Amino acid sequence: MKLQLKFAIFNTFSKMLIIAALFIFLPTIINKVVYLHMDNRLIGKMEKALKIIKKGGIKEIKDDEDCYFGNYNLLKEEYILVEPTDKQMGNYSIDNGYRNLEGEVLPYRIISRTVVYDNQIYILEIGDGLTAIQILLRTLRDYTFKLMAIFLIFTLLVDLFFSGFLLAPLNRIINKKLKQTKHPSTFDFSVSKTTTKDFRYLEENINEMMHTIQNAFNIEKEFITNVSHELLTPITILQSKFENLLSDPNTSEEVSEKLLESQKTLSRLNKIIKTLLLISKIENEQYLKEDTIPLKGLMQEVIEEIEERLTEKNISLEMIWKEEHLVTNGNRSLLFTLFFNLINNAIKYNRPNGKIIINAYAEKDRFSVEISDTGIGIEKSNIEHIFERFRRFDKKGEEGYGLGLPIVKTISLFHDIDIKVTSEKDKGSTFKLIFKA
Amino acid sequence: MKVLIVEDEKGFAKEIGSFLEKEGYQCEFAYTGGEASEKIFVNTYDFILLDLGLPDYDGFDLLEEAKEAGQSGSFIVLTARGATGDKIKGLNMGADDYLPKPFSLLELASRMNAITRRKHGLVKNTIKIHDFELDIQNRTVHVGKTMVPVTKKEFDLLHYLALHKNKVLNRLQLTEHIWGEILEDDYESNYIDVHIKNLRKKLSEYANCDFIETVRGIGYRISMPE
Repeated sequence: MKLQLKFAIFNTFSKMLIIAALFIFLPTIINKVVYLHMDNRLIGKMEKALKIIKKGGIKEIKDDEDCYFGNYNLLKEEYILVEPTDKQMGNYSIDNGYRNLEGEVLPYRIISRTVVYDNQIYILEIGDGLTAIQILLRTLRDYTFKLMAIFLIFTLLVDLFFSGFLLAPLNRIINKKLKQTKHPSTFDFSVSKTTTKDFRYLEENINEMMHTIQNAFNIEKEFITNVSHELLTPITILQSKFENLLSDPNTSEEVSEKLLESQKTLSRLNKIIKTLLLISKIENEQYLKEDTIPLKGLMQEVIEEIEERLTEKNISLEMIWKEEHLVTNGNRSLLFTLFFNLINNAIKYNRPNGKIIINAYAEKDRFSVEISDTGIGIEKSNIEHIFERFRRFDKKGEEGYGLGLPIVKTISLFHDIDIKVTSEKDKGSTFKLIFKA
Repeated sequence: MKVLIVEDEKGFAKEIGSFLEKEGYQCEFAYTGGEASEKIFVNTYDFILLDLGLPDYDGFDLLEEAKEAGQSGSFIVLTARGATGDKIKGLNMGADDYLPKPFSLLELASRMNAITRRKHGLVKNTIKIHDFELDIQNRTVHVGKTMVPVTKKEFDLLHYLALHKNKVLNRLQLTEHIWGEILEDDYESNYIDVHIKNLRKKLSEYANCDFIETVRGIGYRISMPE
């Protein structure tokens, strides 16, 4: 998930949380405030009523001998009530309640207390209408909700835009330095414009590391070229000397045979050096991957190249390969070498009259090529070591110097091909190549 | 034919020289790029064998210079640098062929012959070996009108031996020609012997093939009247 998206999601959640909290607690808070305000007013009014009673007696409020008195204004927003009672109350109490005023039941905030006058206990009640307040509260809640929603959308947009703006240099760095870069020779050292210190630091350090990698790469490349030249030149000189001596009519048959032996040894040295150089050059990414290769066609070419070896050992080869599979961005000659080495091994380590089965098939997003033989197999404990350089397990057969499979491994890695090896001693081995789509 | 050998390793230059002289070429030597540049400017050669790794000169610069100066000789680039792009670059710059070191002198001679034949329009489509006729274009072998079924490798082997008729070609020279492009893990392989055995078996079904001679311990030869 991209950083910008993560920021946006986090912002949305945190804001929604705040709004939800507000939505839950705001009405309670408003209620508290409103009631506090009302209560103060009611207490004030009660004190005023008490003062009037103290000054002019209860008659000031209740002018006749009726035991019950009630008064309210026209809109019934307020009322005052005096009523004889026999229970003495301590201090006043404030509560919500419904009162029936002239057949209309309405909610009120009511303050009540008892007053003693002329040895008679009266209950004094003052009520303040709640209808208007309840409407107000509802309106207030609706407005806050709408306002919050607008606020949420607006801040989210601003956040998204701003984080995009802030993170733009980071995206540029990621694209330019990491995503688009494939080979050290094509590194881009340009500096992005940014005022953010962290990004500048990041980019400077990436650049520095890329410089180090590029240098190491160039040094290695130069080293390979030099080694190549320094090692192959003496071999070239020796080989041409042997060749000249061999074609000299004065060279005796006996000497010729010895020369040929020496030449063979030299050729072995030559092959080892060339193979090691090949591996190094692949690892140094000196090979291009620009070919589109039909794999089945390539395999047929390899088989054609090698068919005499099959006939010689009387090995039958079966190929189960339905559809052609195209490998894009590959190196044809390296893939040829890869197939060649595997088929050659399947022949070399097979028993006479044995069998080789090539089974290729597509699976979901991958293409697999399995090469199975009926050969000597590999000891289980050895399987993990077969790709190591100069490892040889079959001491009897002295062919080979243990570089065939390391080449296979290097070429596979270069092309991002997985290799899986299964084997049973004396039964045979299967090498499975998995090409990712 | 005149050959200029541009090679800073004197020992190697001499070996090439003595081999080519036996093949009937006249050889001159240049051990530095400067020397080579001068010689190429003054003289004309049929062949210039150019080592890319000269101490004082980039071989490619020399090639470019020579082409600009109107040198008509054929260039064969020799190199031990082993850089992967060198071959394509060399051929693009007008070299006629490219040989990575180490190479067999026999292979060098074959390439030079091929260039000469190409230049003078002497490309033969068929080679006659006693009763057999090799069709170079289609890589087939015929006896009269009948085709002898040989594999690609067998054909290449027969063709190579025929090109160097009356000469003993040892197993390594043959191996390099047949399998040279492929880096494999074997060194004691006897595939050449197997190929020859199969070839003899196939050819002898159609006509006498005693002209393929085994030179014990060394290699093979096709004997043919000149």
